[in-house]
Amino acid sequence: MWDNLQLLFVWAPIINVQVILDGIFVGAVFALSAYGLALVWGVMNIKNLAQGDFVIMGGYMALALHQLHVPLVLILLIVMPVMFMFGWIVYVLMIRRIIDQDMFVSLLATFGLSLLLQQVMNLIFGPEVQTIDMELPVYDAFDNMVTVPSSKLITLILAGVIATGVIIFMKRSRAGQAIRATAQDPRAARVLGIDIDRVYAFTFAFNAALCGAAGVLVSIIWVIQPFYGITYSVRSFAIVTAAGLGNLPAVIGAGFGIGLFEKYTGAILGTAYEVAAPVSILLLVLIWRQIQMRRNRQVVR
Amino acid sequence: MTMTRDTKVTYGLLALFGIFGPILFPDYTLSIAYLWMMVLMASTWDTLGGQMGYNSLGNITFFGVGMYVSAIVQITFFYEGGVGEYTSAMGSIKPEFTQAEYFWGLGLGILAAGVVGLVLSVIFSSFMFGLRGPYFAIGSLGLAIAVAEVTITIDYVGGASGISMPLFPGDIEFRSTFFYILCFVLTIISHFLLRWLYSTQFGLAINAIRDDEDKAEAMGIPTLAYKRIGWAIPAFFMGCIGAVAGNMAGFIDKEVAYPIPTFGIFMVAMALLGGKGTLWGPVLGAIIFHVIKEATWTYLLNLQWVALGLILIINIVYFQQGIMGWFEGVSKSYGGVKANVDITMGVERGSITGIIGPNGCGKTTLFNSIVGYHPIDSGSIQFDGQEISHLLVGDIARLGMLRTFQQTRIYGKMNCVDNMQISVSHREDSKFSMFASRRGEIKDRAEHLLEFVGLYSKRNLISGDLSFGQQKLLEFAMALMNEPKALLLDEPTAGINPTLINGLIDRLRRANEELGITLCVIEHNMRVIMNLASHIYCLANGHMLADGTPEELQNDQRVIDAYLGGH
Repeated sequence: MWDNLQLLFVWAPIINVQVILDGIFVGAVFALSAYGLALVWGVMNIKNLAQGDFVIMGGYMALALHQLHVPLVLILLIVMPVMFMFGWIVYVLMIRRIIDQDMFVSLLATFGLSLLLQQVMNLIFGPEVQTIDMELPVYDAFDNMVTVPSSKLITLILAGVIATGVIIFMKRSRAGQAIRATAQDPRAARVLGIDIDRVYAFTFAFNAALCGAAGVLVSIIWVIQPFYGITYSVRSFAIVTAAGLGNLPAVIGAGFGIGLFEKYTGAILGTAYEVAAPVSILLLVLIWRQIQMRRNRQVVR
Repeated sequence: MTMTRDTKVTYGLLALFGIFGPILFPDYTLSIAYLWMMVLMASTWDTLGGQMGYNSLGNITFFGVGMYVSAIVQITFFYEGGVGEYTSAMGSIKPEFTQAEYFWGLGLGILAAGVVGLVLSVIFSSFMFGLRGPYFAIGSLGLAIAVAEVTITIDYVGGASGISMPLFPGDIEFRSTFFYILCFVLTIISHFLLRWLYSTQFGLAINAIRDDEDKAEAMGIPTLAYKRIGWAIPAFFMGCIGAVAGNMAGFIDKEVAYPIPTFGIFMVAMALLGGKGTLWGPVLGAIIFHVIKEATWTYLLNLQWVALGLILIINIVYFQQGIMGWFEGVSKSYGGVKANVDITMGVERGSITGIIGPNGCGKTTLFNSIVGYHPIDSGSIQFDGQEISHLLVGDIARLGMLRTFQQTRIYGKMNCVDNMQISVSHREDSKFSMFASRRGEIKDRAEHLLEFVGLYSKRNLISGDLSFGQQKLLEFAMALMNEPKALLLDEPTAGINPTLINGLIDRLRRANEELGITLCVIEHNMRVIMNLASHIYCLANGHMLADGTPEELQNDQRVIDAYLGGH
């Protein structure tokens, strides 16, 4: 650990650039799935623990499509609608029945869904760690100390495009408006004739599509494995807890923050802490929120 | 602790099964031992989750820590080289423990595991109980994952490669019988301890915390202390049973000690399946779940995990009331009070009709039945010649009949204009209008209507920041925005200052005359209703007492006795 610290801050501070860049690349992806979670949580009060498994699912779809030589942009255009439909089906079969229930039921049911998805993916794709190699050029900077694969740049741009699309959609469209209205007071929305059930189904499906997009990007810049989903769920929860519901800029900020934290933890402590890092940041965020709330004589609820 | 006859019979049957099960089916001894272990896990989980309402996904932590603690104690006391040497040998050392050494070590190990679990839970309590609801559940899950990850970085206890438990000094049959008895006895002890606890003040207090912790706190209940104990008891037993399970397994590593996706989630599912918050629910749920699990394990090899995931989802989504819930549901549903009986009333198109009556006479219930919140037991409700008594709230709203609420319901985080814009009529919606962009004329109309109710100058303020009276005006304007044919208003003047009330009466009348909206108004303010309505119905005790013009009602002796006279 000491060696790594020295390397980072004394001998070759330029490596920091690499760590920060990597943190930004993964942070953008985290923010996408976290925003989906915030949406579903805020609108229908469902805490989706299968969030990360939706991400991994999108990743495997991308992997399968890539093996059929489908170009990247087309992969996104296929995966997102497919995940959207999948989300809609999950809503109809499962989420609809637990929506008015105790919050814990939604946690547990989606945890069950998460286990199921993991096992099915494990049966289909096997337990190996896989990734998509786009075979795109890699740029070097600072005497080869910093490498920036163009695939990562492309994913960052794509994440930006998707996020912008989501913002415009939520602000401008009737559906976005209906979603926000339902989030604030479903009963009033229903009285005024908004079809709540459709809004919920749409929201959940939309979230699945966002996760799917995040998964496509993850499979390009990182690795996927059937059981990696839970770490994405944990990250999403940490981000939403830190940023609050329905605050997109804060979600993006927290996403980058967690990306940076993880990359620095990895650089300093080593890769053995890969799983521990997002979990410990979740606990830290929860404790920090409690201290913050206690100052206002409140609890985190 | 008095017991009913049923309870005694149940205990008798369980005791018979517990004693004769392994004798009759010796091949299944360990499987039944695991069943008792599941009963213990589900029951103790329920203390925190079901009885106290703190749904933990991390109780498995104490189980795993208990395993490791027990291993450390057993090896440290009776192996000279200590744990470090033992683990660094990677299982090549198999010290022969005498029976005395082994059983003493195990006894001390179980006790130590329980105590460490308890201490750990108290430490967790210090930073976990400021979290409520989902945050506690997620936090405890994070805690479990974190402790598991930390454990595998500690080389002292074998790190990622795990640690072998001391060999059992005896043959296989003796071994399984011994562990069976341990599991059975521990389960019995935990069951009767919990049974006693739930009958004490403690049981009441944790139930109070579950139902309304703020209220409990406000009543002076030392909630944190109760919560600490409520977690320490499960933690103690989870530690003990972990120590036993570790010795049963013979070898422990991260997967054995912290089975988060299996035992960790099974115990919750069992408690839910049986019925949470009851003494018997978790026991029942554990028995049923364990049988199903063993069956899938035997008959669905390779797919057993998929099958379990499905069972879990089906269990939670469709049977979350639990089996105990079925018994309770039947008796509860017959306890209703009849709020409205044989009410016949008509509202003429384009008129203003009033409804009056003492508090609790069923006026709001009547509204709820009309706009579709409550089902009606018999009778008919028609709107515009169409039967609507079977329609849902949203359908009725889209037909053009809206209501406002006694307590205002607005979108508190949006500004007034946005509140208005989202309130447009959905009568002519098509499939794609969800995605339509906002039109300029809608905004104009929104602002016009805000001016109509006198909120134009506040139009860009966040609606939640408005005063209660202004929020009522906003809600009225939102209802108008929807261009309803009929509008049901629940006490529109409650909470509005007296000088504004005249303006409101004027606006209601103008909405009726200029926009042609039929109004039906619940009102306590006699001056308002007598001025406004052309026809008034008076309800009392859920019955229709009288109806007529304002003058007729004011002179009706029954109305005066029930309502207007007031003494």
